[in-house]
Amino acid sequence: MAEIVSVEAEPRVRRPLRPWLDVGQTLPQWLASLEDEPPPGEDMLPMTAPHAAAMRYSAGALEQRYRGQRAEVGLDLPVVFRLPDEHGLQVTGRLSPDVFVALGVEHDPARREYDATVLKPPDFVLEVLSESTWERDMGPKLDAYALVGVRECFVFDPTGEHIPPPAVRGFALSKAGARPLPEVAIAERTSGVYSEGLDLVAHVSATHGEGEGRVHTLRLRDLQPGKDLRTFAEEAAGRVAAEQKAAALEQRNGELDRRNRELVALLRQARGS
Amino acid sequence: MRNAGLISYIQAQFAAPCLGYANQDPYPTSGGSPPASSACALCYVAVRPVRASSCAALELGPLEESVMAEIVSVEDEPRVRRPLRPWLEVGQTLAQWLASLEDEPPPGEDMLPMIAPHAAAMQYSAGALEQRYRDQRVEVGFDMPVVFRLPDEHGLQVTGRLSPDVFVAFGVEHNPVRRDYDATVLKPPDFVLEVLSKSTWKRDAGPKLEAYALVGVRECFLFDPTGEQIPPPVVRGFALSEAGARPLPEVSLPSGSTGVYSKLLDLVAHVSATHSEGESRAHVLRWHDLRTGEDLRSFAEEAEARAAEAAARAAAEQKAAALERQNGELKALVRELRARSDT
Repeated sequence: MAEIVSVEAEPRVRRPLRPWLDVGQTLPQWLASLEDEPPPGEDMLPMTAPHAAAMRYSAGALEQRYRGQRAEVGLDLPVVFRLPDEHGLQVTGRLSPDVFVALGVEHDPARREYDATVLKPPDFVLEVLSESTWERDMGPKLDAYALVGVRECFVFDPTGEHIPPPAVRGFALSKAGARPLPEVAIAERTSGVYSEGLDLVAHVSATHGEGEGRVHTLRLRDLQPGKDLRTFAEEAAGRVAAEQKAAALEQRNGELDRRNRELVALLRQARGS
Repeated sequence: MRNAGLISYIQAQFAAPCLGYANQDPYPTSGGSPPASSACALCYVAVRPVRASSCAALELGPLEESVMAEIVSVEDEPRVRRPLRPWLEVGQTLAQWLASLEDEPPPGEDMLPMIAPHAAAMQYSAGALEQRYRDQRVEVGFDMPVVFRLPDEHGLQVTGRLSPDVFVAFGVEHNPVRRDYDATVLKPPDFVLEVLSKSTWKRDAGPKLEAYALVGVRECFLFDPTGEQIPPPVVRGFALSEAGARPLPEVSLPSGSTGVYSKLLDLVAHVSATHSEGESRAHVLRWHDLRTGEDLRSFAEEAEARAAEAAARAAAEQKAAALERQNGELKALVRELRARSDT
């Protein structure tokens, strides 16, 4: 735990809830307006490969981490919530986090949307920034997550084009707004952001390419063994390696067993004579 | 030139009546004529309201039959070759049409966010196919835009972009930094999977299928994770060629489930399970390897298999240690016995 010491002092700046609301707009109206449509005049661009890769790794690795436990890991799953408007009527809002984790909620593969009012708000949200969404992700969506009760929101900029370094940022959310989480050192020249909810450090494990073409790789590190959660490829490679090792051991064990039997027979013979 | 032939082919087709399906709901439960104001459900991208009024399908009568005969025929080896549809608007060149097929939602429709079964099918397919082609020169694209260029009527290069949910391109080195896949510089993807959703299925099952045929994709598979967009079966495969999209036949697996065999991947796409919650269903797509008799593993299964193998390895190591110990003891006994008999 000595290693999870903040690189810099814990930042004290608490970002206040921004005045995103339009004049005369109620909070539920604003939330309801935050659905994932592109802002007028902007197209929703398709995801890029690094964006999709970060989402797939995070969702897959988190599903593995919470396998056998009551936890819902959402990948591109709309989160629906209801809030009373000024007349006390329920207004429905929807946010679509790239990845979220709701601890204590049974996984349901048939789920088409996650009802945060019926179930509970997600505990953790990851937003992978893209050209067409990063401004909303870093601004109003962060505050919207805080409002509906999400406790931590992490953002990752896979190409490093949208926010200044570091490419991984974490925020502790509360009614007071979003508080940036400090960077922690996890190895020499490697730092990341610790999520208390997940007990994991999100960090950039590698950067491919240079300049405009560069792409960061996001990994989630478990500090207890000090290892990153495995990717699909690593699980497969690990399985193949373990299979080969086990097969080699089995063969050797058979050989040893045969020799031992020979020795036992030899001893019996010697004792008999 | 290949495209010139196609252009004249399409233009010839354009004179023919629209084979599309006049109702917004192409699979009506009851008969009757569709509302006259509706556009063709499958070709509405190209057929604007002006043309919809003259759309021959409006007079075609029972829609169900024509739909079933055209895209659904999956009994045995279907003989119907679906012709390239006249998607083009009057005066629109092929290149313009292709360029217009970008993944923006049609006017007035929102692009809906993905639902969990949709994302799961994409994630499984991309992950499992990546594993299958690991260490080989194969690019597996996941939500990666495919860019291609075609000459327009002035010979100028026009860029088009299609975003398949998952694609496979053989012989192309995987590049983790790739942000889009340039089919003109590299090669067209060989295989494409589209997972159908409420907001995109009409384009996926219609013009996009043909756009893929035009740019040189050889197989396109469709999967409807909720079963709400197309009638069963929810997995469809098409062999694409210049002649259009030919539906691939269904095959039966030893497990009893049926699927569609992809010659290119040498795998059968099938539904391995269906989760249901009230009225809503979620089908699970799996890729079956006929050679091993097993489905390609998912991330979760791979992790479980690794854990099981790691446990087996640990057990084998323990057994090895016990055997070594026993071996040592036995050897000592033999040595002792020999020493005794020597004296």
